[in-house]
Amino acid sequence: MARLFRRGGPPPEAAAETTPGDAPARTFADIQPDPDRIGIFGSVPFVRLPAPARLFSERARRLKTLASGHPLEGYLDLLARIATAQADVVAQRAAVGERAVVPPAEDVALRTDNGMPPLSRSLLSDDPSFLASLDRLLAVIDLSSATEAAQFARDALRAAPSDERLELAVQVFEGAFLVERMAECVFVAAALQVFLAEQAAALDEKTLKPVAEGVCPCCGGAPTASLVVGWTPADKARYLSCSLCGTLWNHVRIRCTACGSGEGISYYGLDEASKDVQVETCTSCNSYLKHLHQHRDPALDPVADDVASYGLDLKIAEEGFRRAGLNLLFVF
Amino acid sequence: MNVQVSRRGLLKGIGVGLAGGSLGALGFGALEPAMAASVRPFKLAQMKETRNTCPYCSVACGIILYSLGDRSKNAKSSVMHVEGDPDHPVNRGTLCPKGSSLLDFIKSETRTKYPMHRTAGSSEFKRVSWDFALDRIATLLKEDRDKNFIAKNGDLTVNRWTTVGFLGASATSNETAWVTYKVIRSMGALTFDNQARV
Repeated sequence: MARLFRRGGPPPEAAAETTPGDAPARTFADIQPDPDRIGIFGSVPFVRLPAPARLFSERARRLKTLASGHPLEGYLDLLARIATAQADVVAQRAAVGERAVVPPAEDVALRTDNGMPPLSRSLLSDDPSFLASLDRLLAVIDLSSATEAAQFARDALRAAPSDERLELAVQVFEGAFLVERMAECVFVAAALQVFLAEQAAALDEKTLKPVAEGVCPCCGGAPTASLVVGWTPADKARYLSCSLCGTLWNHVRIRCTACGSGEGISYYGLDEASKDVQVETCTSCNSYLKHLHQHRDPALDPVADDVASYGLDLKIAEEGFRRAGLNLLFVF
Repeated sequence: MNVQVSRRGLLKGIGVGLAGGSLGALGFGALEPAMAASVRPFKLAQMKETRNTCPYCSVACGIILYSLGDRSKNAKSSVMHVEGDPDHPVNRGTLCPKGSSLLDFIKSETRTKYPMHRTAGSSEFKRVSWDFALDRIATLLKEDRDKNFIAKNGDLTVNRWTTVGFLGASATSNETAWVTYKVIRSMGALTFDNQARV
């Protein structure tokens, strides 16, 4: 019989090697219901931890694709260079065998039991690899064709003393951007994303618990965008993408990500520009978040497509909605 | 609640003009007007997603109704797509062929949208008010019950009413189902079923 869906277990050629005579006789009681085989699961996974080895290189590729001919071409190109540098840092760290210093299991348990995310800003000073990553990032980033402002910010950051850079990183972690150092914040945020993605990837997803409405269960970060995904165990479920560590966590659809209200939710989009990028607006708290239909276009990336759909931000602001998410590489 | 206070919004509030955020700080402030100009001719399209329950059977699958149009303005909204609700614990986004065809059910020309009444001897249904319909149903029920109610079977009290039946709706909540049961059974009706089994 033809199989219309993928099944678990050995591939057909492996199964063919065992002759039918070898198979132990199965009684009716042995046969268990196995609903997983048709791709339907009893519950969707609560989190999907980031894979730093792919995350940044795929983002760089997406940014490059989006950049050509876009009104924000210059900025998207700069972000593509930053994402490439992020991917390079991850690759370099992997090559020399450097791993994230994971907080001990009892610390993680204590924090999650008390409703706190396991990763905190104190890791930045506890783990010297953050500053090392920032140094590497600033060294490998290719800003040869970038604006003077970007080169100036990179040079200023390289010249800054360690404690000042650490201080800036803590500010970015907390979502408090210094107006006069906005440009430097972008590079610090890029290094922070690399550091936290590695930290989050090392966590055990079974230990994670929901923290609060629209707050990342790994690091407490704000979401960048909401994704309707198309993975097998969670088809068309909605996941929020963390602005800091890149973790995806499940959030019920048609429910405001900022205030949790299910009333007055609408979706707006510019159909002429893209049907796959919308904003989810809430009239209870007058906020909005980008809503990406990744199940229709798997190439959509929360950070890259949030920047590329800036026109939608401008349009929706005219309707009186405020932005609920945070894109560390694109603060406005 | 975690709405970010936009730096620009704050600055605008206190009357300071400044090229925006990361874009301006990295020397791309000039791109913003270009972006705004590129989307100016476009119109925002609004879409609603509404949770509901499939009316067909007792499984009561969660569904999402996608509709176009803004309910608060003069535009008439219309359902344009129906899909399983991926967050619903019963069906996790899946629907059976009957559920998948719900859009045709909504758009069907023969769908009953209002109480309709066909008088004895007439060949067509006419639209009537809810008051009329409910009064008419109550009167007929009372008449029938007064005529056919069986209080005693010999010496045994039975209080049964077997000449009228009732069909419950399948998408009712637990509470509605409880009230329906209490009302119908307390009148003595024995013929009682639910659309969920149909």
